[in-house]
Amino acid sequence: MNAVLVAIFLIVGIYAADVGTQTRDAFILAHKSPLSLYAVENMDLVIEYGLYNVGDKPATKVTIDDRHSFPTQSFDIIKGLLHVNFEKIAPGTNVTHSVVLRPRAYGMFNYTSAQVTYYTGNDNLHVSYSSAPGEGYIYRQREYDRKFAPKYTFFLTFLALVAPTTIGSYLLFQKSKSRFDAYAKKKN
Amino acid sequence: MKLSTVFLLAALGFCAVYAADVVDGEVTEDSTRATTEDDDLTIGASPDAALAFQFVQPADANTINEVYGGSPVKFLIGFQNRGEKDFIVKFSETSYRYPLDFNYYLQNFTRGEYNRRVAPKEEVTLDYAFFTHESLAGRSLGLVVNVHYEDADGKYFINNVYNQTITVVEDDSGFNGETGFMFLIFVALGIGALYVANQFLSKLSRKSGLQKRSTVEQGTSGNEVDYEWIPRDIIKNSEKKSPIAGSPKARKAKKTD
Repeated sequence: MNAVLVAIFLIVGIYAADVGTQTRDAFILAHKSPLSLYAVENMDLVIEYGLYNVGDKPATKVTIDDRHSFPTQSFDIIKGLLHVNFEKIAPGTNVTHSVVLRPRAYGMFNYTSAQVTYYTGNDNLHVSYSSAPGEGYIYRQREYDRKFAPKYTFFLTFLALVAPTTIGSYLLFQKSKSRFDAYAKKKN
Repeated sequence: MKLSTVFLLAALGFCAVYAADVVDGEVTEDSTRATTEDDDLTIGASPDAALAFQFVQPADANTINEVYGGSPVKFLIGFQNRGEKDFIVKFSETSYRYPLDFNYYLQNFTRGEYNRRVAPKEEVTLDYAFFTHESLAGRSLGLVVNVHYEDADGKYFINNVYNQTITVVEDDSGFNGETGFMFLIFVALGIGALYVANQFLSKLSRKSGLQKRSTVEQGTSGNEVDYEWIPRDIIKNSEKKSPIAGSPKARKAKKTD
């Protein structure tokens, strides 16, 4: 009877200790989101990756691999790496990483999730996938320009159209004014 | 006599047992039905799934449980499959509840549809963002986030990842149109006050210091020319050329030369 009780107490004690000291292993949450409001062909598109370690232990050898979601035939990498390595992410901290890309073509594009791998304490490999921004439209350059580009050509044509009436009359005015000025000088 | 009593007792006993049995049966039936109904209603979490929750924006919401009214709140949900079967994360539902009674819904947000398959020993991060209206600023609300998922066998699970009372704080950071225009009006009022003060002071000084100069128009009776009214260049010209004494005829003759 005593032995059974002791056994039960032991089990309960171990369980309680386990629960009490059971720190959660490193748990990396990864998000991937575009920082640019519009994705436009041949214009910079900034993608940000954020890694948050919400566990109680550090995660080691953390890698982000997103090479598969931005194929080089449709994206130019302007700056940054799509495959990065972080030696260690301490518990309760976060890391952000951003990449500047340039889409080569317009149309719908499905932004899929990036793959994140990391190791917890005892060389335990975790394979994780970031959040996926989902489908987005990559604007045509012309569409974007129509909306947002400074319309220099419009202004130039407008000036050309307005020139005959304004510049002509200004020149006439100048002519007569200079005549009167000369007359005033002569008079003096 | 003894036999009859035995029978009577037996009958009584039978009756009692039967009655008890019936009652017992009813009770057990009821209880089983109740428990099954309970099981159907309260769908719990799977022991093979580990979920995590993290606010991304505002970043300090994880520790102080405060969000800003009128600005987006973003959070991440981590889903870890520790079992042997696939999980399919269906969606997350986010809602504001009355903080004193979490059964009372204040606002239901659009659910975040994910439909993502999580293979065994894999993890997935899901994101969601919602907007707290400005009018909720200054209130504490219960924020509840539930994640709905099912396993490969079609068994349905709901996991609660966030269930706390948060405070919605007024957002004072950044430019506020209302206060901006208020400052603009203050600046305008200040300029107006300066102008009025200037007018008042100049009027006072004129009255006290320059009272001798009368500004009453006296026509052309005076012999003196008021040089204030004559353009400066003309005065200069007239200074250069002193009027030539003599008859106008002589002057004319000189000009024609």
